[in-house]
Amino acid sequence: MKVATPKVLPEGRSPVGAGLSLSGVTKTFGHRHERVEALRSLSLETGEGSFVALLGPSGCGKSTVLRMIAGLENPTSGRISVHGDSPLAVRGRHQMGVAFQDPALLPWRSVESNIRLPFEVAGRPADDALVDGLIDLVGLRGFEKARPGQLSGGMRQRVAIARALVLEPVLLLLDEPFGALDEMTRQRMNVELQRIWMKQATTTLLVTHSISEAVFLADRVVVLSPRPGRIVEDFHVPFGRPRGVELLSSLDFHQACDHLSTVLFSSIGGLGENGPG
Amino acid sequence: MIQALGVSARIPVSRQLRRHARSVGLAAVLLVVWELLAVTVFSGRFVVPTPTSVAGTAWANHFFYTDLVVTLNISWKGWLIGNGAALLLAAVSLIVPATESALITLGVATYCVPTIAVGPLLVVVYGPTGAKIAMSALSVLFVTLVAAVTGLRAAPRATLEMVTVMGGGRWKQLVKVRARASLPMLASGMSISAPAAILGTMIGDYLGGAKGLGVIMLQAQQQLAVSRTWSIAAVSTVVCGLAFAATMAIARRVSAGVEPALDSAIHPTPLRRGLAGVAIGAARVVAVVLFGLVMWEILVRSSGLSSYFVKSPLDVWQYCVSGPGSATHRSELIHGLIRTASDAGLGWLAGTVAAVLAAGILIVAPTLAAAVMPFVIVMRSVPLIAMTPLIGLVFGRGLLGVTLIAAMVTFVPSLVTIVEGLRSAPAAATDLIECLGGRRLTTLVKVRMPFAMPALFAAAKISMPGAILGSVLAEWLITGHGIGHAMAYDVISSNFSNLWASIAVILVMSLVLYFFVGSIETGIRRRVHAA
Ligand SMILES: Nc1ncnc2c1ncn2[C@@H]1O[C@H](COP(=O)(O)OP(=O)(O)O)[C@@H](O)[C@H]1O
Ligand SMILES: [Mg+2]
Repeated sequence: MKVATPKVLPEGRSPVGAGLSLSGVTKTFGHRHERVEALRSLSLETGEGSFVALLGPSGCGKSTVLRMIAGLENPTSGRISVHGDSPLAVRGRHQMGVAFQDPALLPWRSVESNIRLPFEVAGRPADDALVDGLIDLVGLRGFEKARPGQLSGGMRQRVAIARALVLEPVLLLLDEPFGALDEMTRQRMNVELQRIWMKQATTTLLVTHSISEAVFLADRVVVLSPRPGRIVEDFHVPFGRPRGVELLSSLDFHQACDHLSTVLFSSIGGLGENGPG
Repeated sequence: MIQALGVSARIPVSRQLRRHARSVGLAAVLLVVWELLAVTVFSGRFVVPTPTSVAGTAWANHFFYTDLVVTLNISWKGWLIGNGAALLLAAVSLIVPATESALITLGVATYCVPTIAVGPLLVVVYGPTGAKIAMSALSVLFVTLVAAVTGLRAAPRATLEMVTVMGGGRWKQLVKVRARASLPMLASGMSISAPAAILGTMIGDYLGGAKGLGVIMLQAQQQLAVSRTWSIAAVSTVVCGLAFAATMAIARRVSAGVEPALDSAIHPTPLRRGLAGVAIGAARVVAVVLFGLVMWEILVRSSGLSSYFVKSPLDVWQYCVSGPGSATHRSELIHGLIRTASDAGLGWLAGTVAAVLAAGILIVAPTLAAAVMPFVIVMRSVPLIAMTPLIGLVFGRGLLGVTLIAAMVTFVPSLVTIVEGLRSAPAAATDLIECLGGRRLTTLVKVRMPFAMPALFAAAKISMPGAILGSVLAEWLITGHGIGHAMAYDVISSNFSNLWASIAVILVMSLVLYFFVGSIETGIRRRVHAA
């Protein structure tokens, strides 16, 4: 059932390997009595500079995958490497950018100062020109001095994205960064995220439960089964970049989404009409 | 400060045992160190006995059984009355919101008033035993009131709105939703108030009586019976810890199944900012103060008590400001107050700095924290102020004793509150710093400390009056200076005008500190939780 299509790659990027590598990763939470097997024997290789989306029903372990790659959790068994290194090593070199569902802005800092935070953590002098450029890139010109409390949800997420990019990371991890936004804002944010990403072309893993978001943004969509999460589909998205809003109403786009939707439904095993979002 | 106890309700027993094993090990080590110090460094100075001799004395005296029973018998009544009054006040403040600030101020006043100084007056009104019950109740009221008000407010807004939509009023909301939602918070409040009730009774004992832990502790201190003083202190400590643990166990069972309210569910009533806000705040304080003075005057007039003991606000005003000799009275009062305030301030500062440093270390070293925190939680239920005779015995009658009491009274509760504040930083923010390659120290400085600022001020709000009270008690019992000593002298010499004036001055100073620091706390809290 796989839609076999040649992957359109920007120049100079290898399709497989050298990016993110998970081999036989299993994760079990809890202790003897209350064990939860979140992931079972997950293996995945992504290319350096590729954009991979992780799609799956709620609770299937998507966030757990991401948190393990970020080094926030340890796998129960299996190995994870990023560009051939351990997650902790990448983190220690301050080469990781993250944006989670909660933008986690520090409320007492201005927009500018929140974006500058990674420099302070890394103990490097802040690159003001870069911060300034990112503010433009995420469309927050005029709000540099605003505090998070004065911003809308979408604006806060854009600050979080800018902050994730400011150290020019080799790895970008996004966990439903637009999950809390309405459909319209979300779509706009997706277009912006793609534009930003194309400038830096970082190895990226996006966790989402939105099929259209995954198809719109990613080079590859990996679908997980319900818990314990296993890969049930590895789908190469056949669209070139940049992708515009008009793609959303194209037949190809709908076919791709329909296909993934079928995969998801059959993996869930007949939940009826209440499909995944 | 109260949420600290919501710990570990669902952790498996085996893990709890293992965790406690570490703390028990640490306790054993500390006891051995104490024993060694007592026979080496402190040997021959007769101030620090060995733990074995302390235990031996307690054993030989049957754990002061008869006095213990007397104290407990008074304490449970005080606990019941104090908690009942607190719950009543909390319910009224919710149903009639206009009364809230006055009632809360009343609660704060019961906390700030130097219990030992009102004791002699309570004896006149209620008799010796009644006075101790009243003092015990006074020590409880504030703790439970704060817990109840916070708990009742923590009810989820959506559920409250459901009741409104169904046509229910404030009363229905209180009965159907708030009462239940407040249970976890209330449970911790009532548990902390169990040792507080014993503290109140012991302070009452210092005024006299035939039996009671406080009575015999003071006697032992005055007779320089070192081992005996220590063992009474140890027995009191254990009893307070047990009272706390037992209440907690019952309260946990009762409130099981109710999720503790999240901070985010608490919606503070919005304050006006700027000059208008300050003006409204000031007007409110003035109104509350006036209300308090009028109530005081009415109570005095209607009580039928001799004006020899009981002074009205007008009497105090005449004594300090307009009457004959008022200039002398005033300068004496101010002199004593400055002395007390500087001793208390020094101790408070030392206690706070130590608490901040200790909290930082505990956060950066979680393994250490796991072993130490249970001690700190237990320490909090030790009535430190009631240990004053012990401090007097060990550190003598000088400045050090007073400062040390103030520092200890500040340190333990502040440590708990600050650690909790440091831990309250959202996981998303601390995860972020980790992902950016920051160390624990970076997380502490960049994220946890700013998020803990409200907790720091919340701690200060409570510990500043606490330090003053501790100093007053220490001055009353062990040193020969300050406003506390002056008041003890007033009682002996029946100078009730000066006693009332002193209480008023201490109360005003403590209340001003409480509300001033509290307003800083509110401001910072808004800033920190703005997003
Ligand atoms: N810290 C944890 N402790 C125990 N169970 C967890 C923890 N984190 C996640 N889980 C469980 O692992 C499963 C996967 O969670 P998660 O990765 O958050 O799912 P997703 O992001 O796909 O919705 C869920 O069943 C969740 O309850
Ligand atoms: Mg998730």
